Amino acid sequence: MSYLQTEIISHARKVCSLYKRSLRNLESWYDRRPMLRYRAVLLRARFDENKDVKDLRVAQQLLDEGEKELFSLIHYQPKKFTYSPGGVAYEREVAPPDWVLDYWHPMEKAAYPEYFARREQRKKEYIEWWEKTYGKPTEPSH
Amino acid sequence: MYLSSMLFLCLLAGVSLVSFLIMTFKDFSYFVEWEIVSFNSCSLVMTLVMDWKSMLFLSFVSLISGMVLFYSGGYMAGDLNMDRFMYLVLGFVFSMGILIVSPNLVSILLGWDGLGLVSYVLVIYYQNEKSANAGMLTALSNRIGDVAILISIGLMFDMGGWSFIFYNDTSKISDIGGLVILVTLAAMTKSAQIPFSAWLPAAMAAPTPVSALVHSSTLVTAGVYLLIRFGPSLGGVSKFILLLLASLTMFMAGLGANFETDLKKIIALSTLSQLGVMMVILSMGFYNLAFFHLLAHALFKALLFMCAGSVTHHAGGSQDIRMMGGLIYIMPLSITSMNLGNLALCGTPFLAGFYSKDLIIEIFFSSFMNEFCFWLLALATGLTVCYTFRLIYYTVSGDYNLASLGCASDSDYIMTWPMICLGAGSIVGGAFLSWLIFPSPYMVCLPLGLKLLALGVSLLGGFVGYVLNLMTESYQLSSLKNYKLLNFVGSMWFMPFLSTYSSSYMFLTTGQKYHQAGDAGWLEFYGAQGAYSGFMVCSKYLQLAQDNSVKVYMVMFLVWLIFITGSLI
Amino acid sequence: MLVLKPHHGLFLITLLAGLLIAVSSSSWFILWMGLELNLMSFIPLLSSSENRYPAESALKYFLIQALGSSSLLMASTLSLFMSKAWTSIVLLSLLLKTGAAPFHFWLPPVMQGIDWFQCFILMTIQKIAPISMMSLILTNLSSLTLISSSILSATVGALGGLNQTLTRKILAYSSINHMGWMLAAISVNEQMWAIYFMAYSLITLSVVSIFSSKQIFHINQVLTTNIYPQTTKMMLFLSLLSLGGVPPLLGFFPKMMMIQEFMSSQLSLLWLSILLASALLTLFFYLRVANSSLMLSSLKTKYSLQTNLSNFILSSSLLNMSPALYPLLLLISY
Repeated sequence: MSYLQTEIISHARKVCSLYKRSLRNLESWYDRRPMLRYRAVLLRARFDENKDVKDLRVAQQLLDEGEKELFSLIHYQPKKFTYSPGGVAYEREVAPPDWVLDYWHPMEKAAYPEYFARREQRKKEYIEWWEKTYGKPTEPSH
Repeated sequence: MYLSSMLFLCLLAGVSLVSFLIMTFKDFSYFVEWEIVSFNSCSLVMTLVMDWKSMLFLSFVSLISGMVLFYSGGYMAGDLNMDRFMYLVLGFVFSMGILIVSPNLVSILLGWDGLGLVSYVLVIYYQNEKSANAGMLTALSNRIGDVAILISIGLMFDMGGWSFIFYNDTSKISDIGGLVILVTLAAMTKSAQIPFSAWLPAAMAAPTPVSALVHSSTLVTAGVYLLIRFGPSLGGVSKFILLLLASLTMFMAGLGANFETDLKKIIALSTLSQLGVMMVILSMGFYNLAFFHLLAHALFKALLFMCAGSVTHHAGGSQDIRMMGGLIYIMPLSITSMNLGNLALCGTPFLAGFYSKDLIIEIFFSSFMNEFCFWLLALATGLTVCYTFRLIYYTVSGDYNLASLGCASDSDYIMTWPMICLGAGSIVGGAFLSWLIFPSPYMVCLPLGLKLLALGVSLLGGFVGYVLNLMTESYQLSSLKNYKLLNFVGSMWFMPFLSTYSSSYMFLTTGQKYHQAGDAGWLEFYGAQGAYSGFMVCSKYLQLAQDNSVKVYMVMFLVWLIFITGSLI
Repeated sequence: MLVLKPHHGLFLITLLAGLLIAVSSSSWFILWMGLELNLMSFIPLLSSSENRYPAESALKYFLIQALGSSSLLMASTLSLFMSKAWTSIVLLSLLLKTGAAPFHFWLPPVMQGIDWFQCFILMTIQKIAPISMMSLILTNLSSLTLISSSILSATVGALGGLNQTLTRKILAYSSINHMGWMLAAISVNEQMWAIYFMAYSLITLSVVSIFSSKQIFHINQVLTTNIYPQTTKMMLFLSLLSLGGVPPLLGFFPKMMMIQEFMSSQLSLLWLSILLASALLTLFFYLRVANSSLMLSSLKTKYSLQTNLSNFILSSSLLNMSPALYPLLLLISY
């Protein structure tokens, strides 16, 4: 949904985003640490060079140029973290969330009476602990 | 379960190896034939052929799959669906076995389809989106080959039987128009030659033991094996096209592997390149050489995948070589075996790959072929060494580059023992095979320049592969200067896009057009709705005629009576 | 809801006696007499003193049948000196008596006025005698008339039923459509029409018995009342599909045999294709009866005052599934 902008994004945030993406892109190209550090410092220097530009027209132009340059240098196989979206092992192991058990049919639950009795007990205890620690939740005022 | 399957498969390997030895020395083979039905002088028979080729291949397949199953006991440990995995792999080996021992196109289809089905299920073993996409690509690419074989079966009705092996010595098979081309097409899909290459790297979404099995001795070699069996009948145009596409595949894969960053995909691309080598020599007419390379390649490729799996496993699932470096210090055994496999792959003298690859290249150089293919092969040989040394650079040299918290080691003996076995195989396998397959060695007579060409491009490739990856701070990446070319080469000449997006885009847009014009357009208006309203109008007129008194009905009857009787008098 | 009165028994017996006389006679005069007996005993079955609609139907039926009978009698006397024309007069009068197009106009209004039981007799039993006689007098000359009548009946039955919302009229048009098939069956061979007729009677029995037990006269009654047990709807759906000739059911098999006969006896394929196309149209309006009640608003009430279907109705509906047992015939024959 990134094409649909739903809020006002400040210029500073756009610049920061560009910087982060460029850094990640450098990481894909230069895989040895020392080289990456060298290039990263150069990149930072290029950003720092224009950090005091007050004229938003110029700043906007600089930002556009930066975006264009990043687009022309994007890696063909970007480095992704293994378990992040786009990574090789993303969603490889599916761990069903705990609440799925609450939606079991009573007949299914009846197959494991002890477990579910204890589960209900634990839920009650958790609510008690919560209320003791944080107090009763107040009704939200609309 | 992994232990018992390993024992069983190793026993099978031993039995078939012994029968191979007996068959080679005594020079005989067995055919077991069961006639299922004979129909219109076409006999449908289930034939099992046991000659030296099938027995040797069977022993290799079962040895490697035994090793892989044992290995997966360590690699897949703790996986919830371990049993399913084991049964699937066994089913895979079974399908391959059927394919190996059948000289009959119908029973080959059984094994062939079994391979396609099980490979699909294995590729989607991890149930994430990436695997699902890769599985669909794999299944559908292979489906083209299945269809080609089905059509060939239809064509072979002419010959009164499907046991093509009996017709190989006559010109009967090449007499049937299109049959050879279809079989070649099938083999090209299964062995991922150029228009269909995209699925092979995509299938790396499967667990690594599966890749080790699929890419060494089973799935991808099925196409080559089919063509080896069909060998003498190949000829003419299909041979030439195969030569061209196979050399292109070889070159493309070798080039792509140099720009690939995924460890498993690099090895997959090297498989692709070696398949290209097999296909090239096959299209020149040297079936036994292709078979030789197939077996030698199976040994070290399984080894490579096992080592890659070990690295991946211990690096927490990460397959990116950019995160690797200096691994030799923390997992010496795996990395040593991996580089052993690598060196065997690029044909280092007296390792497994040397005997077959050197022979293939020299025979290729001494044969009659065009210059384009000649240079492609020479370049691809250099590129193989190039990406091999790139891998060596990333695994051996440099600093530790993985996540800061890790426990990479060689401690799991379940994973290291198969590596040691296959490592021994990659050292001695080539010599062993060349002594057994070729009773008398080939003598290739070449001028000095050509004789040294293979060695020269290999040394050059190794130098380039190692040096290009060394970077110092002051160098800008030179690959960035040719960004567009880099993109083209690094993404397999855009083949994944062409075989997924383009086909789905074209078919989906055509489908939409048809839907708009037909189902929701003309057909709806003049078909369903038009017929309905037309019939309703007729029905209304009938109702009008119905709306009369009994007198009118009776008068109508009399009018008809007089009219018809009058016309008859 | 079958209400049988004492005199029904008597007239049913004479009706069947007339039928038997007509079918087994060897002279036209005896045949005419049998038909008259059949007609005269059907009239009291139709009329009832409580309701004037049956009386109207009875009168219409009587007038038409009397016209048919008299022209039949005339033809049998003419046969002495008009050797060519008399068969076609006989054929026309018999077509009038069975209600085949283009002399079908009387059938829907007559059926609209009478109860389901009488409808059943009108649609099935009353057709036996005329059709069997038609099969006797079939010559080359008259077969052209027969073919035209068959094609017209199929078309008219299919198109006429499309606009109907009353179940009795729908079944009347369905009967006209099947009449087209039966006329084709006569020209194929002698047994074929008997097979077709028996299958048709069984399917009609199952449909009519359900309509009769729930007193359904309008398709809204099927649609809006959800108080029927689900089995009723299922059985109704099953029977209607069978009537339309959907493959695994009983109605499909006579049609399939007809297609085979047409193929093997080199009859006109245009004729066959018109018959088949008309069968498709009839299937459309049969489905319209049951579709919305079964598929769209298939509600279910927990308590229902309606009783379940009687065993008779259930078994007659399930007869439509009998082709499932045909393979067992192989066991008997070997």
